[in-house]
Amino acid sequence: MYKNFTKRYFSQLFFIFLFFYFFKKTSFGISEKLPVNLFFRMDILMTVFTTLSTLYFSILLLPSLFILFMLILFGNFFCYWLCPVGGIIDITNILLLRKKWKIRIKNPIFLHKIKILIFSGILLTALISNFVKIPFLFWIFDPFVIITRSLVFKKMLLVFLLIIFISILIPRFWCNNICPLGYLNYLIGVKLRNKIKKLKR
Amino acid sequence: MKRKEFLKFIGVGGWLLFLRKNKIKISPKNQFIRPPGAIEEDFFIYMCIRCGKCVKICPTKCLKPVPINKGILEWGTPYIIPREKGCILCLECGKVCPTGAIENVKFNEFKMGNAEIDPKKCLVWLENKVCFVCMEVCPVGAVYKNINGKPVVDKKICVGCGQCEQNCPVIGESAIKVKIIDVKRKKLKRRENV
Repeated sequence: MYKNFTKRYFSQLFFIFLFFYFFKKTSFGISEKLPVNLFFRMDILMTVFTTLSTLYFSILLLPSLFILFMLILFGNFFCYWLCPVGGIIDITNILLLRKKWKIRIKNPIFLHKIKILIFSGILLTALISNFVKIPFLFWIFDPFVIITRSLVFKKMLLVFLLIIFISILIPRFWCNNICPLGYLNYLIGVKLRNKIKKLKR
Repeated sequence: MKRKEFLKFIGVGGWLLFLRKNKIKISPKNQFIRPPGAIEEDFFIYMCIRCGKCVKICPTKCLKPVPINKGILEWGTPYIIPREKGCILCLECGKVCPTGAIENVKFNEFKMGNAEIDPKKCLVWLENKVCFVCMEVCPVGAVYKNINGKPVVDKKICVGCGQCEQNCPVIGESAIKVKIIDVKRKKLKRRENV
């Protein structure tokens, strides 16, 4: 993945630009043809959650199925090439010259379990909500929700800035330890893909 | 008691104490006026991913996220407080909702609630004053004068936008209030669609 270093950054920059362009275009008098909610519709995690919790698949979420197909074909490209949050984290790391500052801290292994806990929490909430109405509190961990809400509501901006700040100290701290969408992408793009490959052999 | 059990006990206890202290309700009751085109409440709370797109696009900023102390189930979902700002029925929120929790609807396909006039507070009913602000601001023409010249709401036409409640000149609580009655929201068919 890191062989295409420059290409990857260009792709990230493009999708960051696209994300902010869509965000800015989300205003009164918008054309229905402009897919300003495309990033959310590509969010597999939310597709899984909404489909499991309501047992209803919205046609609007079809782009996420395309992403799922692409993940199986090309591996976990989403986090490294497409995700605007991952892109912002990577680019701020370059801009702030982390290597020169030498403030890089090694990521503790035990923290990896947090994302598994959050992801299983989301799955459990979705499954149980069919029987008992339980609160869905994990929306706060979705990267697209965080970035959009931080632009809409000032309070959430602190959360986003905190994510970027920690990621300067520990590279991709958010993506490696917390992001449930990233974990699902990893499960599909790496684990499932490897299993399919093995079966093919 | 083992260490794990003790930690679980403290965790659950702490959570319950937090709920009790903050008076957080765990019940999906139709207590919020939802944006036009919002699907049935039971589905809405799980279909809405709290992305904030509807809040961003709302031109009058009448949509606000539900605070945690008003209901943990609905926390972060959009709702309208008509007294602060009523909906202008632009129906833009339905265009940007990524999951379809707020559907892109037409005018006759939704009903957020029904406005009701309180004769004990209304200036026309109480003091025979010439007010009729609610009649003037109603975008669908649901408020009309009855035979006695008093304002009345036509429940069949009213969509519950809350413009009347916002503009009511009565100080404090409005004389005309939007209540969540006869709500028309789309019901999703579980399992059949999957």
